[in-house]
Amino acid sequence: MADSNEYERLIRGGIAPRRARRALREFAEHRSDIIRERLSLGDSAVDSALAADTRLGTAMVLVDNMLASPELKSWSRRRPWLAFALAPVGVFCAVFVGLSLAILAAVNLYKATLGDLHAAPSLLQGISTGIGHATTWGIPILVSGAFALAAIRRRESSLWPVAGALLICMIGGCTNFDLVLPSVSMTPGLTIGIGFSTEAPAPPLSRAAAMAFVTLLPYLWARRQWAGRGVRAAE
Amino acid sequence: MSGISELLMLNLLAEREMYGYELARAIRLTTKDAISVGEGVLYPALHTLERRGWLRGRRRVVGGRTRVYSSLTPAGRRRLGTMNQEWHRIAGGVQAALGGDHG
Repeated sequence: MADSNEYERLIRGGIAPRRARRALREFAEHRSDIIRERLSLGDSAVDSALAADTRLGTAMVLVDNMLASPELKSWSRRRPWLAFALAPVGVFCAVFVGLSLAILAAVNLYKATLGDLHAAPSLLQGISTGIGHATTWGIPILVSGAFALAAIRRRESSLWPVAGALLICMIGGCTNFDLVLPSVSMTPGLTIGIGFSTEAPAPPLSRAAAMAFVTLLPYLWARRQWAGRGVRAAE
Repeated sequence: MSGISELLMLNLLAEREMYGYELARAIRLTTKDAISVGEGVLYPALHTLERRGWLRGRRRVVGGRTRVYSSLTPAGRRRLGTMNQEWHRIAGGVQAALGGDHG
């Protein structure tokens, strides 16, 4: 990107990526409009470019003015604890409950319209277990990963994204999901819940630790890569 | 952002939607270069007004180039009405004071 220095400064200053890209694009378009205007009046290319620089100033001036306006800071920069710690937990809970209900509705609809499944119990068991694992493992990892990615794009400090990911992994580790697919002899059913037993703390804790490892390791690695790239661009 | 540039921008955008370069040009033409708004500070100002909910930006492709056209929102029109009233009150006061000086 031609304006990578300016873009990095805007992002690091708390301007949302979309707004930063738009402002820089508008600025570049404006500059080329001035150059066209001057060329149409008979100025040379060099004089036209000079006129554009005089009237517009440099992109650094634009960046300074954008950063000087607190109103242009993104809401996630103003409330990072909400954007990267609490919101992910809310999204996780909503997705978990929503997906569970959607699965149950799909199973009931299937049973009501097409009758009982005539499949081997072991196959049904395998499908149920697969859906259960995808839900209890997939949702926490995907939600915390998505928010971690957003935090990287916005060059946020790692404190709140890490806190949010840990919270999701802790809650995700304590969730349980038991789906009974309909068959000739069985009624469809879904049991979802969240719980932690002091008598058997190892399974949820180890699941939470594994999910945190899977989410946070790539996040911290990617953050390091982006940070290095940003520093090089700003130099 | 100075109140005058804000007033000018809102007044011009109340007439029709414009993109940044057009707006800068309109300010120069309508004020006969008496008021100069730095073209480089136009965009932070437009984004701030948009953020306040007084303007909305609409992307359009014109002649193969993407432009963001700004126009007033209903809240922007209310704000413009208030600013115009305030401006006329102040301008009337200054005029009266100047008239008094010369009278």
